[in-house]
Amino acid sequence: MKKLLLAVAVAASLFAVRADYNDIKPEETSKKAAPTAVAWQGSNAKKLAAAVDCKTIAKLVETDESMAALLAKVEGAYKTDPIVATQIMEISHKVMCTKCDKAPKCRERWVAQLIKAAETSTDSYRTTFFLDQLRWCGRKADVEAVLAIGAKGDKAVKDFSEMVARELKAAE
Amino acid sequence: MNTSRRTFLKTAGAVGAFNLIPAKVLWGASAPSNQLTRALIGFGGIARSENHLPYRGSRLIGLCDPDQLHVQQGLVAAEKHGWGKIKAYENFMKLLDDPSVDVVHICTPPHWHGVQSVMAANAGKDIWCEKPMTRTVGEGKRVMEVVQAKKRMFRLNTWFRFKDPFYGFGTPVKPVRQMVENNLVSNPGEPIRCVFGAGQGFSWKFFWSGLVNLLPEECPKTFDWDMWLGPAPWKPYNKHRAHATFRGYWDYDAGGLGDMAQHYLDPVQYLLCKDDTSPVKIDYKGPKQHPEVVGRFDRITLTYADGTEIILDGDESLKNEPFLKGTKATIWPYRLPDGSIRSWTTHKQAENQMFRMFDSAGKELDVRKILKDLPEPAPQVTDFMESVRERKQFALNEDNGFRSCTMFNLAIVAQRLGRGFEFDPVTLHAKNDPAAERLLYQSMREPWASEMAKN
Repeated sequence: MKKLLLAVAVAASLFAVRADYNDIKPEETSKKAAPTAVAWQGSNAKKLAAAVDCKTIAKLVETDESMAALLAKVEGAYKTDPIVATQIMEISHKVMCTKCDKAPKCRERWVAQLIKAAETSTDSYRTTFFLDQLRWCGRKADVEAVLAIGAKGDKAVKDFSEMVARELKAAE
Repeated sequence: MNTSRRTFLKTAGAVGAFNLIPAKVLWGASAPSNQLTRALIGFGGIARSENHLPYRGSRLIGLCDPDQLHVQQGLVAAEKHGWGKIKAYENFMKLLDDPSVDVVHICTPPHWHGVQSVMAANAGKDIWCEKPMTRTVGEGKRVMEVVQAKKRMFRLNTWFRFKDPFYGFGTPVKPVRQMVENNLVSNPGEPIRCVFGAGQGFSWKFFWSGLVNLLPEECPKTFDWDMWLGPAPWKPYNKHRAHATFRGYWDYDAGGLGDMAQHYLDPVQYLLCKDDTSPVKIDYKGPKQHPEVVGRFDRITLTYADGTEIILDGDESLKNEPFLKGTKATIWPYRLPDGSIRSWTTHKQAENQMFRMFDSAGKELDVRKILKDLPEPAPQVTDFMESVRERKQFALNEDNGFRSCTMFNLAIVAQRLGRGFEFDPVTLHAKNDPAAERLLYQSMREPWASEMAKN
């Protein structure tokens, strides 16, 4: 019965397969059509530029509370506002800057907030989102904390924490 | 393939050459037992294209895919193409363990290319890998090291540096190389500016963009999602992440850049005679990127130490610029009588087409007349089976392929950072830029991180 069902599925899929896979556009493959990143960038160009300009970012990292408030906007199950996600990414990159005197201290505070957010998150997606940010700005000193987060989480979180820990062990 | 089988095939050919009866007849060189064999890793869209499934240069004996539907489709398609009943391997590790496989065709998404190339080289296989060669500079460097240490033959699945008309440009690359190599575009040491955009006949395919709020979905039971992810970070299944639309996500590829960059940039690296180096400066103009999902760019500029620039014109602001601009001449794509550029040129069409060339005073030059007196570029090995049999490096190999892929890798780092940075083409590291460095050298999941490190 299983073989028959598989054969039927294969036969159906052969009719569905297009000759030129390059013709398949994103809108055609997902019924729950969220915007593409290109469409979102286009329709939010001014908002996006304002969200990541230096003054806005400076305000977001001004205090530990402002950092925590930003990270609290990360939602479970991939529902995070893309502007928020982009701001968080921008900060993770900016705190690595070698030309700015304030960057090292800011990085220390930002990483501490990311770790705290990951430690207290009960949603697997949120936890892995924060771990993913630590990939880009975490330090060797954070390896133990990252592994401890993984030890408490599900397979996805454990996997992620081990990968991030490897990244940080090799970090500068 | 073990050494004795490959040695037999090479020796059989050599002995046959000294016989009155051709080796083909004497030894039955077309007989299945004398043909090189190949297996496909991955049976998605690209595996069905002409250089993989139907390719007649070697005998197809098996395939694998983490999607059982794809495996079944592959078995049916292989029979239709005259390969008979081929093997379905449980996974690519079993495929690599099979001594009867000589060459592997890596037809998986880019996040797998580095790992599978290294593992294939360690397993003693020769490799035909899809482009882009790797997702990061770190992976590319490792592939190059292992392929060379294990003395494997390696080729990428792009070919414009040695055959076919070069997309909408309308002519093959060879005559352009001849102009550059013979210092007719710029004097030695002087820069050349190269623009890639719609105005020159190239599309950056921004439709390869991911969806910004991709909700988790139930994974089909026939699909091993964990295996498909492989070295990439674990994220929940959504059909848009996989199969034809994986390009839209940074974890696996890089949108239109991922699809087209090595097709475009490798021939340009060749015609600019820059196969042994990389850009030192990368500049970016465009919107900030979502951390997970690939968007568009406006302009990415790759600058070499001698000032030569390769500009990826995403917003078409340079559409009226020539394809190449040197200190002595400019080169422009072929245009149809209505002024348009063909997006694709057939061989037949290319017979009557030629790019246009103007000197620094704007006077048009007789390109065909000039070409008649120019020496041919150095010959290349353009048959991969010949490369495998003779153990001669293929035209597009792990060396020059790594360099052209590095251009792609540098461009996507600039796009993800939303800014430019500097790169050292000798040490292959970002200069004083830890944020860029993290993107150039990325970690991966186990056990694949350990497989990358194995010798």
